[in-house]
Amino acid sequence: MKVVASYIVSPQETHIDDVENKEIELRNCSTNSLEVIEPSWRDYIPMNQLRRMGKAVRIGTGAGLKLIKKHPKFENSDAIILTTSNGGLEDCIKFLKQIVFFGEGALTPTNFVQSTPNAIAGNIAMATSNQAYNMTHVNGSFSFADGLRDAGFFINDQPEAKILLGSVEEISDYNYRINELRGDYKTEKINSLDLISSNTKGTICGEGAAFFGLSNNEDGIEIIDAATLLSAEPNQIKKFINGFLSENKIEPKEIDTLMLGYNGDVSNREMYDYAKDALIPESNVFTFKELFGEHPSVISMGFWYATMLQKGMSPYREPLRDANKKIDTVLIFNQYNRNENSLVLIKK
Amino acid sequence: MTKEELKIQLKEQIISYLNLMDVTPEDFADDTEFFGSELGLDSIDSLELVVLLEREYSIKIENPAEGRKVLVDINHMADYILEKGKV
Amino acid sequence: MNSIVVSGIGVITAIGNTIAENIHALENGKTGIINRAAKNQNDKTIQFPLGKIDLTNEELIAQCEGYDPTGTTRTDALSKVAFQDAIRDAGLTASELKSPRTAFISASTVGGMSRTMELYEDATTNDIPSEFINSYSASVHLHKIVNYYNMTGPTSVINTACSSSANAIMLGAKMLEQDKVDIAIVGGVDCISRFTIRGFDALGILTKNRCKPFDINREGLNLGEAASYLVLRKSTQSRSQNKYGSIVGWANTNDSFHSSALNEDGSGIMNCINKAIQIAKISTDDIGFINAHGTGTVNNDLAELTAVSKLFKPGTPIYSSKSYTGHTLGAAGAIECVFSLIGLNKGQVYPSLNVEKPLKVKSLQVNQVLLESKDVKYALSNSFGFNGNCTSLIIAKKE
Repeated sequence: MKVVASYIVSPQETHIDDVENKEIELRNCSTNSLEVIEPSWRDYIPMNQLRRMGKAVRIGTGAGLKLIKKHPKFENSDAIILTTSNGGLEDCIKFLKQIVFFGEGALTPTNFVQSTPNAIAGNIAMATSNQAYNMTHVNGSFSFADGLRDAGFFINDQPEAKILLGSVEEISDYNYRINELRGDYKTEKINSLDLISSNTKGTICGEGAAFFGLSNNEDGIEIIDAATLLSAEPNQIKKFINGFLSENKIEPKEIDTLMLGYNGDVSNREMYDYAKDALIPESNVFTFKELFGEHPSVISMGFWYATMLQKGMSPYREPLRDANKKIDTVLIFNQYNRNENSLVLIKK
Repeated sequence: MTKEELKIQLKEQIISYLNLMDVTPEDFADDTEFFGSELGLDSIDSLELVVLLEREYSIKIENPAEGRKVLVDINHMADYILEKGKV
Repeated sequence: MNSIVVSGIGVITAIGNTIAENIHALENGKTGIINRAAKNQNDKTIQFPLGKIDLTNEELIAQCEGYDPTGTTRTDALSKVAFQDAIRDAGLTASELKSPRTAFISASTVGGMSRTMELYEDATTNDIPSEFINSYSASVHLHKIVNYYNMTGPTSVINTACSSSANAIMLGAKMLEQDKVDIAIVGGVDCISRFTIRGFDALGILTKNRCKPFDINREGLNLGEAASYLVLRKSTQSRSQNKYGSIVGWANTNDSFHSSALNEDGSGIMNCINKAIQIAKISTDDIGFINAHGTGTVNNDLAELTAVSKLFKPGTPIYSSKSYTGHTLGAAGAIECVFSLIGLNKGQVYPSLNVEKPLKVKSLQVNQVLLESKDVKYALSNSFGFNGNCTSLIIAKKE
């Protein structure tokens, strides 16, 4: 199964046309909150849907429909698969606010309808009259890998299938606050582009929507496998990474490039260091959270960045380690919450 | 408040409750039908309008038939509010 | 034919904490939907009859082996109780649970947001986090179980609204069929929360009376709560693994019509059922009964009965078990798959409750009596969610 089309909106100017051939000026924010740069969705989302949408639903629906407009063969995709941890949490809390303020009186239903994560894949289906397979995974930061696997099962059954796979997360005041209460974010403000070298605890927050057109039948970046493991135990994680590689019959030295989820949290480096220094010490190493921030669906943006590098896009920043190798076989390794481990292996 | 003032206030409230982007009170006439016109409202919007009447005018619409009679256009809504003596 | 066998079940609903209690209630037409408003005049949050499981959070958590009560939501506890029962019933060993060839696919729509007020306070005013700060995400119930049993295989949590756990069953079945895993534990959970009660109320689709699916004068749905997991294996493994029957067909489609309503011409639903029938390689005439989505709303029941009347032979019995349990959202697909298996193996079609004047489309109308029929081989179970998400499962009796 190959990635044959992609479109992402992120905290960087990745929404522009012909993004792989253009230079963009990188955003360096100092608020610890990398917010998405949104294009106008008016030409893509029907007005009567757009007016009701919260941010997650809007950027998700918009990015999906924009990919379809740029690559019309995905208009009648055989599957629409959406992955997110929280979906439209802002609408959800807005609805709770109505409950608090208006008690048991009449409440308006729009926030409730929009807060359900399957609104995104549903809106895309509705806007394109698509009656095909329609799925939404909400397994925390595992969701994207789950979606890749789901797409794989689908294409095994229908080798000719065209699949639209998306991944969405939003920052709202509400989920920022919850993560802040959990101690996820740095207490001091940093420049986002300096994130990876930060020596304090915590990370910074991000948001965005990434969509991919997948199929067997064209040239593109091949998705070899994806896997997840819930564990904070270093030995188990090492076993997981090694097992993943041997399952896919690939030697560590065959990985020319690592895309690692370093998030600037000084207490969350051990496993990335293991991959970089012990397991695959002679590879190129790239990072992506200084560009996109940390959130449960950000692995989809690391995945997008890796596919762009494989296609020859100039890296946005100097790699963390330049092994002077061509970028063909990439292992993406991401952790969230210190115990949610995801791996994706892709090949040019 | 005169009936004309009430109508303008109602339009502003509808635009705000339904988040009708790009629409100003001047853009729709008193007899522009809510449903099936260029306003393009649907069943979820009718629920929002019921809440608007309850929150802004303390009018409770208890059954769908009554709702269908009132939620037609600005004229019908304004008449209903005046009839209920809620201005 | 695909044959994915069911070798263990755990189910907890308003009509029973065990599979035996659920069977007993179905056979006796006993509903679990209770109108607590009458009893609790002072509690204004209880305006609607609910299919509530008659155990407190503390009582449920006490049944969860190895769970710390701090931060454990009702969703977490219900799912753990049903999971424990399912793996015990299937006789799964600790090493089978740990195996990378054992998948766990769950489903939930409300997840830890069942702690509605704590979520609101943590998201807005709290300076010190509540004990539930790490509990809100839809995936928490699954991650707690995975942690406790040291599971290492593939996982997922599905949220396609009210079809969620039917999709979890479908995904697990596909993984087995493609030989990605040897065991798939599949199902879902949802508990009653202020968030869902007020949401469905805002949409105007809750009734203050007991729901009467497929009645001409139906007024809406009752919410319920439940959890259920099924242990699935491939039929090529030992015959003794087939304890309850098999999942032989499945389809997931989108109605592509409206965010909170189905197309009443039935076309989207027919598309879904047809695909599932095709995968099962049977004909619609082979279907012995239909466990309907049957929520009791004006729109759902008309759309669903219209669709099945166009596809199935006259007299095909259809009933809604939501008249027993209420609508259990993310758990509905799983418990209705379980009820279908029970009916197939007992040779029984259960009556839909509370119907006075049955809605009739062509010659099809809802089943109102306990039918005994030993030659029924296949059942269809429908699940439809907001945003057009339709799933149909074809279930075969134990051979």
